[in-house]
Amino acid sequence: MFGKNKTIKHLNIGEDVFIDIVPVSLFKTNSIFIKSIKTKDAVLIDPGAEGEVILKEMEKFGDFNLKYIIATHAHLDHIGHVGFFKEKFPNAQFLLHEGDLFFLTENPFSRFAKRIKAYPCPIPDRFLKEGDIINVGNLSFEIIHTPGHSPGSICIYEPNISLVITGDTLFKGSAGRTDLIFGNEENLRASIKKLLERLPDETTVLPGHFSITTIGEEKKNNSFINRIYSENASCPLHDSF
Amino acid sequence: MIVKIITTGVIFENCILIFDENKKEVLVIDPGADGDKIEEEIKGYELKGILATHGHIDHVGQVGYLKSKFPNAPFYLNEKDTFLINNELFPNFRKLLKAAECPKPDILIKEGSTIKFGRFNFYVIETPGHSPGSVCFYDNDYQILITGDTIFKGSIGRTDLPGGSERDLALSLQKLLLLPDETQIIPGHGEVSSLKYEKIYNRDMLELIQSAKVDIFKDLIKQNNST
Repeated sequence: MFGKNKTIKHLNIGEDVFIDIVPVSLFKTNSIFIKSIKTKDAVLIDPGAEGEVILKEMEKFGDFNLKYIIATHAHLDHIGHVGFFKEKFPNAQFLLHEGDLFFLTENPFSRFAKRIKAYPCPIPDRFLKEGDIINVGNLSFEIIHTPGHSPGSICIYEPNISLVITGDTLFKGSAGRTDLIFGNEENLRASIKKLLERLPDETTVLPGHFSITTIGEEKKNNSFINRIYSENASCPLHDSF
Repeated sequence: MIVKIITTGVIFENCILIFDENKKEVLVIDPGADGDKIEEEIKGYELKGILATHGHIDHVGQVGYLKSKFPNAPFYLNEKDTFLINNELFPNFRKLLKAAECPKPDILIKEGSTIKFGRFNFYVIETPGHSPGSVCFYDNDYQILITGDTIFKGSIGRTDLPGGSERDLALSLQKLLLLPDETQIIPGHGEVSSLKYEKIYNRDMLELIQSAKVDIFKDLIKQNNST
């Protein structure tokens, strides 16, 4: 059913949580499905492409009530199939940070959209901002605004299960690119500093592409983070920003 | 003369202000959102005209507001985009931009129209594609090109909104490529650029021109033969 190179992972964190990671399209965007097992409430994050594959995977593990579709940012490889899920689940609210609305209304990646058979992306039902709490069953996700890769990039943090979904802000070993339209390296540095300051070392990092890691591991082995602090020696990790 | 770009609204639309300090006059191009911010910027100057690169609401959203403050300032637009000026395009878009009702244009511009303002002579280049009435404003002496949403730094306008056409956009971009390399580009969103930079790095543009398989010269010849 799935292509050979599809490695779908189930993350075991806490008793009441089911997490399913489906890497989609040639970019291997991690589409993340999180369900609170007791209440069956669920959230889908970054359905970038291959909606059918993601849906099959979601349905494999019993009933769910999809409450939210959240995009960590509005680059096409993260929102390409939001339209597909809004069609199938009209009651699910699509949430996005306002800073990325530009990508929906001006669609600067329209030519690439054809290649991944993207659906026209609906306008968000609601805009997210720093500090918003999104409740899904027994889980509560906190929104951390982390501009840099795009103006409206966010990270989604659940302190009780110690998980952060970083989109394209922080990867295992590196960070998001800032050369796309409205990218800003200075902002990205500040955002990553904010994450390192805020989140405990044991926090699991689930990025928008590639492998899972932890905040502690990234503090040691991330080339982008190392560069921030080596270039700016007067501002060590524990310094205030 | 001072050219100032202010970024307005939730989708970072570039509103361009051109000041003539001697005469204390100002020209406003693409007032899309944040009407009060624009008004604050042009305080002490007389508004001599409002230009729009195209009729999308994020570029004309504050024309009504400015006209209410400066009723004598004429509003310039290509006639082919008048059907768009009060089209919301996306649900709630009007509210998000706090856009006022847009009045009908006072002066209709088309290919070859010139708008004189201070030392600037803006020549109107029709560049349909993103919308049927999209235009660029070009000053040959200062080599400034105000492109609206036809071309951005590293990217191009979408063509799936009402009246948009990929083929037209490909032809329009070819037309812009005939301008000198040194031409500075002020796009409708995002950073300023130069034509030289775009010729090398704008992959969206280069791909579109290649894949659309259109040739501006063939097309011009066809047009001339038919008229």
